[in-house]
Amino acid sequence: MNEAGRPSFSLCRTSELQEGERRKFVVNGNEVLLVKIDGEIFAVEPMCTHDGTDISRGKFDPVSGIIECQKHFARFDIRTGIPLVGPFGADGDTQPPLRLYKIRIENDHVHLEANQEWGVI
Amino acid sequence: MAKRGYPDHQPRIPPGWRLATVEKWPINTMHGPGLRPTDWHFKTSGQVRKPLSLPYDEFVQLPHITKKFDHHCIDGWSYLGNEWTGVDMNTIIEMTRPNEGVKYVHVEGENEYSATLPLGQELMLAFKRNGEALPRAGGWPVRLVAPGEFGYKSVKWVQEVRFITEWEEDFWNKKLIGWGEPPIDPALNPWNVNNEERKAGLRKLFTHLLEEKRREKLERMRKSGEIPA
Repeated sequence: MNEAGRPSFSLCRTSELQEGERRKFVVNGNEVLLVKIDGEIFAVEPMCTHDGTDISRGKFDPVSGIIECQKHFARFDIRTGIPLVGPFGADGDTQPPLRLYKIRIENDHVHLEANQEWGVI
Repeated sequence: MAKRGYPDHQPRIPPGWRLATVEKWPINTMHGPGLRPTDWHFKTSGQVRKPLSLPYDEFVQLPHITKKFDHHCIDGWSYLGNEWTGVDMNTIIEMTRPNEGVKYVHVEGENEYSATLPLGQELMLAFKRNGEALPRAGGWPVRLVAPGEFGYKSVKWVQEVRFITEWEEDFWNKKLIGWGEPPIDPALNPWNVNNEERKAGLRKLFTHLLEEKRREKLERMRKSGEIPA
């Protein structure tokens, strides 16, 4: 439960996630990608906002936090979800941002909050 | 006079566009990879004196031409100098003989994709690109090439060309986009694009398509029992 008394979902221990590692979870049908960058953990929906491709296996630079869709090469900053480059090098601002999920770190566990702005979690 | 979509048009790239950052032919298949037709015929219908129904082998034997056109995707990338081989729409018009009063062609692809274009505009029903048969994702067996239009008018997997007297909304008009007619002086901007409207329209479109994909995915998972119904 979180502070508001709503349930949350424990995803993994923070120490399990290595620096630069990506790990995908499915929670109530929602895909959640966790990444650790410079010690901080981020959670995004791994769905390219150009055509819905699962980008969890796209090229990822753990230093800059930029992930590239393997299909049409759109790029996103995974920490903010902001699209930097569109498909095939077009401007990034033709696309909506990636969805970010709210997480909470508690007792060395990553918890996905239940009161997300998006989806059915 | 040089027309947009052709290599000798200036400016060759619409304002705000970028050259595609790939060497390979960029294939964007947002409306699916296409079905695998086992009994494909090229058909004409609507207001015509002689409806056509040609199998692939006969279609590619029609008089055909090879021309270079640039491709400009509404996403904002261009891929220049594609050499297309195909049948000029005028050849089809001569064969199928539209009735008096026909003003448009409604070109139908698969998965309900379509484009309406004025009769008389240069259009090619292409079956080769750079000398090779089209790949399935690239529109095999036949795709439309509409120089001067953005890529979404170049219907892939063409099934039928319907000749019509009144404008009919096509797939893009009906389902995908909400930006208005660009109010830009063509003398200043020959591509006639309002980039802010275009980008806002695309963001709206992508948001809508992603919602559909999420809904479909959840529905599949509920049906398969992965998540509770």
